[in-house]
Amino acid sequence: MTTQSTKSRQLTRDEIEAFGAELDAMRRDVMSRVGESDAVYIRKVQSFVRYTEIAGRGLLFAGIFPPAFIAGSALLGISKIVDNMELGHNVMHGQYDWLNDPTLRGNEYEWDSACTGEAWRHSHNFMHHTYTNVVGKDRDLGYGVLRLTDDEPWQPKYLFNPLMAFALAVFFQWGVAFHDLETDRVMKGEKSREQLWTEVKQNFPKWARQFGKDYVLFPLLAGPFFLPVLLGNMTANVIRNVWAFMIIFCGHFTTDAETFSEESLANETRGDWYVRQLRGSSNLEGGKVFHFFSGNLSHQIEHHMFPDVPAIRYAELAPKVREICARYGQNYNTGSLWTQFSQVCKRIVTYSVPPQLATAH
Amino acid sequence: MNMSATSTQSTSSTASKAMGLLDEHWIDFAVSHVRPLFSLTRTKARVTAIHAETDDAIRIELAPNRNWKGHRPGQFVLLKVAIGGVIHERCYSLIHDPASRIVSIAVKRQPHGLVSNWLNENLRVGDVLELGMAAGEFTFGDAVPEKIFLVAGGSGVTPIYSLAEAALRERPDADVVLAYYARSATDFILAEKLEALAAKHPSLKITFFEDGLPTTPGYAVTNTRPGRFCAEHVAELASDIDAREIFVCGPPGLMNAVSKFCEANGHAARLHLENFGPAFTARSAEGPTEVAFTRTGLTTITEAPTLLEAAEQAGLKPAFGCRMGICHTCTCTKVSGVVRDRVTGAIDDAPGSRIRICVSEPVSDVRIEL
Repeated sequence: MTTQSTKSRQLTRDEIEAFGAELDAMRRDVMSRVGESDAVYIRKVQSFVRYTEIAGRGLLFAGIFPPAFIAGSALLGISKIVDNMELGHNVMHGQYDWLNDPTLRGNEYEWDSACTGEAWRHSHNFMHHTYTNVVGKDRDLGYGVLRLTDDEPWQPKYLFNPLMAFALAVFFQWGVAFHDLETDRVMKGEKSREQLWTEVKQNFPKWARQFGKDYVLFPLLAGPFFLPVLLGNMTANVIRNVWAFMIIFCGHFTTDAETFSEESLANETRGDWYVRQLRGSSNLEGGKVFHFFSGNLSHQIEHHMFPDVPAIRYAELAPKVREICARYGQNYNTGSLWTQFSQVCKRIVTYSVPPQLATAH
Repeated sequence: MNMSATSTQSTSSTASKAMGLLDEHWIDFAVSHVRPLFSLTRTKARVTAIHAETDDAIRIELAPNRNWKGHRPGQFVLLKVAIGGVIHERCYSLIHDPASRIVSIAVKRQPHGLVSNWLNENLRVGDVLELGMAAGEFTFGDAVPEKIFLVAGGSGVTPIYSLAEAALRERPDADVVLAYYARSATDFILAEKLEALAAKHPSLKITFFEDGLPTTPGYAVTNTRPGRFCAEHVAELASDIDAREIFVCGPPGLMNAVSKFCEANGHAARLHLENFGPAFTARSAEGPTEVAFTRTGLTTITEAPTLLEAAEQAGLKPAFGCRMGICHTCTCTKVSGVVRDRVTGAIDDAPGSRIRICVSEPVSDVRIEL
């Protein structure tokens, strides 16, 4: 059973193909203009991430003074956010492969987060973007721990949905890191323990170094002032985790975000694919600064339609995508962070209880 | 300019691909604030001199950082230059004596050539470029032959000069005959260096042949002769050709002429070739194309619509994901050749470009790093 919204009308086969053709043309057009300004931009983002990290960590060495602690944690948190979202996520999508820059290669990039690049590229670039919102295939629908759609039958453990969601948010870096291990499938017997162990061994070095960097190395370097450094690093990680969780969950779990069956994938044309990406995604409204800090995932719809177009371009595509959707009678799901996240929270709570008790969703 | 010989690229080292503060890119970034040429693994080089060789060619001298491993005379190096934010890579033969640790190349403008024209127009002393490793088989091997016949055309003189100089350095009495073919008396790249070398070594005999095109401003070689390569030139300059190792480098026309001559006269075993010019001929997509996998050494003739399928047909198992050009899991490096993107229709003919093999259709013979 999948979730549909009635806000988008059903399209004929010809309309779907025309819809796809218009979006393909938009992609060709924007890619023909991608060039030096995008190169300059992403290198500025790279510098921003590095300099804020230096400043943040530097200030935390003096973190015994509250202003330094606050500023240091904030700057380091900002650095981690931008590294995670505007830089890492976008680079790993191959958006900047055309630069032929070894520091910005999608297939090789490692970000300042516990999840390895390899695991992310598999679980996100491949699984999530190919099978977006397809029940049983897109594991981002709940991350294997939350119940967020009707397709997952209710069980008593889901009463803890809100608590699990909160924990996932606070420890999101590790939630993402373990996501690709598919431990839920291991518990169901669909994946072998041997395979799980192999993957754990592959990923463990990065987990250890990531943990060690923030909680061992830098505190040690601070000598007697280790505590503010340790707490500051923890704060920065939590800042990044919660912010990323909020933005990411707003992308697919608002009220009108639809899910799809595996059967619908059979013979899916490019037009069908665009329609599914549109209906499964939701945007966030905001200014340039907000878009920057959300890694342009505020333009979730545009990102899902054009994952390998440099994300800085989504803002210019959005009005055109919106116009096309209007012409085809498709809902363009967008709202403020407050509105959209409220819907996400409501969904988390709604699906924590059995369907009979759930209020209208 | 592009070369048919395989260019080697430094491959990623997963061991040092850590994250954040402790990875090699971060360290390079940090230290380069005080030492711009610093890199843990990459070879950066500063331009120390730019000489105008002819009206449309320059000779560049670079001082590399400690990662430069040197080269053998006759080899080429991969040069990486950022133009408009994008790093472009081209191969150039190395001119200088390996012991000097100066990296010296010559760049001649190609019609519609992006990198060659950019370098001629925009490169300045003090600029920092990146180098790959030296590579190539256009070398002497274990020992310098006693008798050598060198044929150069246009900018193909760069490895030829390198071989001539190296030969005479090791065997000052080596019998070296050099025939250099260019458009006009003012189009002989490295002319002054060649003349100086000949003045220093009587056993080096150079003949400059020009093709009668108008001269341009610049240094003019005075005693040139008209003509293009032909058997008569060999008969006149190197009648003992049977005893000579033959090295030729230049545009495709010259290469073909010399190859044919050698094949027809039983010299093929002593012939060494280095191609300057387009490394491929574009074919229609209908015919089968040859795909060479440089890492595994396999080759396949294929009519498969994508390089991914061609690789799988050849028995390889490259990484892939969505198989529709979205997730970029299958991205790898195209060493040379022309491919068409089946989604956008775009043609990619640049050497060393990163392509998604699941949507790349070979349009010419292709070499990819798999």
